Amino acid sequence: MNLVNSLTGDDGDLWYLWVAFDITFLVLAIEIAITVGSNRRQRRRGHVVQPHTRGSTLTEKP
Amino acid sequence: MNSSIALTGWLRYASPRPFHRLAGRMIPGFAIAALLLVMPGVQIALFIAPTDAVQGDVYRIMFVHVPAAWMSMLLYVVMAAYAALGLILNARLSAMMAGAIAPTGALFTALALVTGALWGRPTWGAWWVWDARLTSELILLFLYLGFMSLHGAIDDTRRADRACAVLALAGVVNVPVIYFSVQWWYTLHQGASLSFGSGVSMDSSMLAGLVVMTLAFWCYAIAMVLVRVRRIIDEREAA
Repeated sequence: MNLVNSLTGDDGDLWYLWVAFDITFLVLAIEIAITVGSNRRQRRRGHVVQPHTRGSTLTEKP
Repeated sequence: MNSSIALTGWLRYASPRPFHRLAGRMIPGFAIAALLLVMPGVQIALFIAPTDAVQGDVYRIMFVHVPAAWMSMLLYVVMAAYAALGLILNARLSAMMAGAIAPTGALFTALALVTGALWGRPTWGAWWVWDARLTSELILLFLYLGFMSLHGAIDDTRRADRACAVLALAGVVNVPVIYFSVQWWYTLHQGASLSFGSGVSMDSSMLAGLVVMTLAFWCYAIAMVLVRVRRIIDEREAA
């Protein structure tokens, strides 16, 4: 609770703490949105692999 | 006999299409685990861990800064290992995994640098110093960006995979430099709070918060890499 109380106090250093947490979770949320959105766009275009395994090789063909 | 059958069963997941299905089944589990871990992690970080006697509450930046820095190094080692497997065994999925890890690794490196700057300003009085730990972490970011740029610059994906694998393997030497920089050189950056040799030098609730946040970031990174590798498999296999 000390931390919550000090938010309303004169400790200016806490600004850095909140910005660090905000930036971290904002950036992670943006990565989720971009990555998942990109997958969805690809699926809408129909560029998806077929569920069967035939033709999927372990190594590159020479 | 049974073990060889089990190994053969698992080996088929080294092929992109079976792995595509497996990844699809694994993503929700890791995503939910990340969400369930981050909530108590933030609660411990902001409300349960005690205030530091010297730094006050601003030290709580540690709970995002340290896990991000650990993830940046771990992901680079994993990326280099996959790149090496792709280069040596010519395994297709390995190169795809390396490519999928790079953006998340770069993101965690950038987060470690930014949150480090936000911690450095109130404690050191400077956003940035050309300190061995900070500089080697910045080089790690450039390695990730170089990996992604190189892959994007070469049209032939197989050639791009090989070129990027060489870059990733050459850059892996930077990871021990980051980790041991605080021991090898006189740096402004503080030494390791957790080390295998000297043990733990922090309150148990601080350690718990650090571990929980690290596990949350770990699960998040695995989920993101699996989502991205499915798109890469779609791109390459459906072509």
